[in-house]
Amino acid sequence: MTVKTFFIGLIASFGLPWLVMLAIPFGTMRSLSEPQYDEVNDERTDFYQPLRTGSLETGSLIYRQEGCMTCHTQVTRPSYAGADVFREGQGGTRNDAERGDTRRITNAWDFEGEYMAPIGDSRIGPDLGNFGNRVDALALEINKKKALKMGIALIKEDKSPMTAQEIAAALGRKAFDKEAYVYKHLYNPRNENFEDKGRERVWSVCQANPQFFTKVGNFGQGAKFAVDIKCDQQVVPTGDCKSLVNYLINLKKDGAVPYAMQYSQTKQKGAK
Amino acid sequence: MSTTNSSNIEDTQLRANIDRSLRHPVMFFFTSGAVWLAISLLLGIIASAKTHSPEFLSCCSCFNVGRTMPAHMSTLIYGWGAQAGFGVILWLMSRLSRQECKQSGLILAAGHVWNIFVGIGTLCVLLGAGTGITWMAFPKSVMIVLCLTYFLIGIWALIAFRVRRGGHIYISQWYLLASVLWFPWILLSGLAFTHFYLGDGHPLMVTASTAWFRSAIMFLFFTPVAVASAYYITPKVTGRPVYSYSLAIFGFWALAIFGPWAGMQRMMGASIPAFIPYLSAGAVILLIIPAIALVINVLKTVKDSSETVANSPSLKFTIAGAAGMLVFTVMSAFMSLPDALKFTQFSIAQYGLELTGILGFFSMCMFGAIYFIVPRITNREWISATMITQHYWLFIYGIAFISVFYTALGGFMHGYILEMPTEDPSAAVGRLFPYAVGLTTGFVFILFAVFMFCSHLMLMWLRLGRRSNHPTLLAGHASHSSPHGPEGDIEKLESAK
Repeated sequence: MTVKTFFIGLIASFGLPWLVMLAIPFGTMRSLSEPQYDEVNDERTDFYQPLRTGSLETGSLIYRQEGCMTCHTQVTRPSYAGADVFREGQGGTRNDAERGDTRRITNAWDFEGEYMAPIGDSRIGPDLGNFGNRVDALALEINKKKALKMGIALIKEDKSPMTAQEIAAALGRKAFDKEAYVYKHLYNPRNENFEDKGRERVWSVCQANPQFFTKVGNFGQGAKFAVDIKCDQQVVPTGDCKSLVNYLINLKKDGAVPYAMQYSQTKQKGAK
Repeated sequence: MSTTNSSNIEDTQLRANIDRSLRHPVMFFFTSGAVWLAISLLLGIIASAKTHSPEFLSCCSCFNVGRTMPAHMSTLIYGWGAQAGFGVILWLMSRLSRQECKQSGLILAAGHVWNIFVGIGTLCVLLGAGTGITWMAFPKSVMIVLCLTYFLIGIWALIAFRVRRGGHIYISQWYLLASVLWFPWILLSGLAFTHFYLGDGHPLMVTASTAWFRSAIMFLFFTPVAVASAYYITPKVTGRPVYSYSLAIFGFWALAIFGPWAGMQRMMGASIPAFIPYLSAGAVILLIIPAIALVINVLKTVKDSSETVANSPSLKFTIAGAAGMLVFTVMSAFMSLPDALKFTQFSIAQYGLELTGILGFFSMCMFGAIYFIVPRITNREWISATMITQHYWLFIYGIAFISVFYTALGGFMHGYILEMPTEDPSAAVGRLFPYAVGLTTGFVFILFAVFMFCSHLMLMWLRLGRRSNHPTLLAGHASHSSPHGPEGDIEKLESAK
């Protein structure tokens, strides 16, 4: 082997995969066009508009910097790559009160607004792709119990069932606070003072995050999101923590997609 | 006869001059690398302990798994792996090219800059100012400085090759040259696709490029350096040529052709072009070929030299490293099979596999090279054969335990739970407990081994060993039949001069 052969071989053997695996897909996916709805199956003809809310920039940055990706993923793989979609709550839910079967695989638009897709390294903790939906479901379950206990009817005057928002509104300040729940989890995941006490909770190995909280003086009843209140001091979340929690409770990768992209094409014609 | 003698003297003088010219930079890379390895293992123990005992060190958020894990991997790669690689590349390339290093001061200065910035990067990660990008967790500015510093180090290996003496180019030189050229290409690609295009590229392709980066660093930097070292140490210590040069060249091209395609199998199921993960999975499976080529060559070369193998620490570590490469590539191939990937993609097996590759394969080969190189550049023999033996066995026990118990068994169990849709994902936490404890135990073994190695290396740098230019043999001292020549030849030469 001559030096010339070596260099030609090295450039070719490295350059080709570099182009095929990295450069070209990178360039192609930069200008990904949204798919169009199908008139027959979707009963609409506009383009798919992915919706993302929450603190995508700051929240996702803190999510990465704190290494949440070490233990949590944010992807629901198609069935050829794993059974994620069949796990209740991961890719959506089988029986959503309003939308029916919302389960679907994660698509390329689910990471819109983020610098990089936090696919994650391992699943030591649960997948967080639909964490926001799971917290919503937990809130609904607890709010229903509270409403029943308080004698609030869950059926409206027109005999239709109350929505999650309506139940929360009826409960007022006693409604389950999703943000407070996540703050408490971040402060101490093994905290016994959770509102879902009584549910079967598996002991968590999630890390406590004291860096997200600060001690301030306590005046009156304490701050709304204080995670620990002592006579003259309270522990409240920092700005970073608020961004992260805002990002987490808005993680909802189950929005309706065009028929062609759905997990179950026989069930969801005209998805909303 | 006198011509041969004069040529031998010249040759010995040249080798001594090369060794002397590289003494400080190479020893600096090895010693600081060993310290980073110990730091990395400490961070690994903390991260591992916190996965089974989350209240451990919970007073300080800088020890959270999310911070210690990237700090542990970054120090392992840039602190230990890269620096051990630089030391071996510089020394081997100079020796094989028969050229002294003229700029050892500059390399030493670059080495200091490298270490300072690895330190800054590690602190940033621990204080929560890292990027969160796996294997590129240091802040962007730190990564850029590391990249620039590399050019000041790597260029001298290229220059040594360019001005080499003698016509024949050894197989180790091809591997070293490739690693020296691949490393900046990979580093610049990683920086370009993750940092400079951050926000412009599609988030999924940014993540995919980090998956490629990890694999490329492993297969196209760590692997060729380790293989080059094995192809140098084995014939040198046994006194025989490499069994098959053609097979070695074949292994090299198999690595060069398949290596750059690997890595993206970690993105299986993500919404990137579907052919990419499959191509990567195929490439990983084919990467068994260079491992088989290395193992055949090493075993055939040391055949009938069982006494030499038993006595030479360099050879023992190198053979263990070659076996480690085979284990690593076979495990990688198995875990990349699309059916197995369902279980392993997000299980602890992936982290265990990385440890098997970096510690069980690369590090073993580097230890072999260091045990060979250090006595030559310090002109001192290793102080204690017992410490070397303990280092060897503790390290083997630790990494074998991690590979078998944590990676293979724990990885499968974890993946199995994750693939059971009816199981609560939190149930995996309970199942993981014994394997997490096993990982901590394995790390403790390895840390003890590295502590032995590290302290031994520092004592050598202080030149406390017995004056000799021979490698330490685990039984007795160098014999007259040693391939390294008679004892004291360099000292005689220097005193005559």
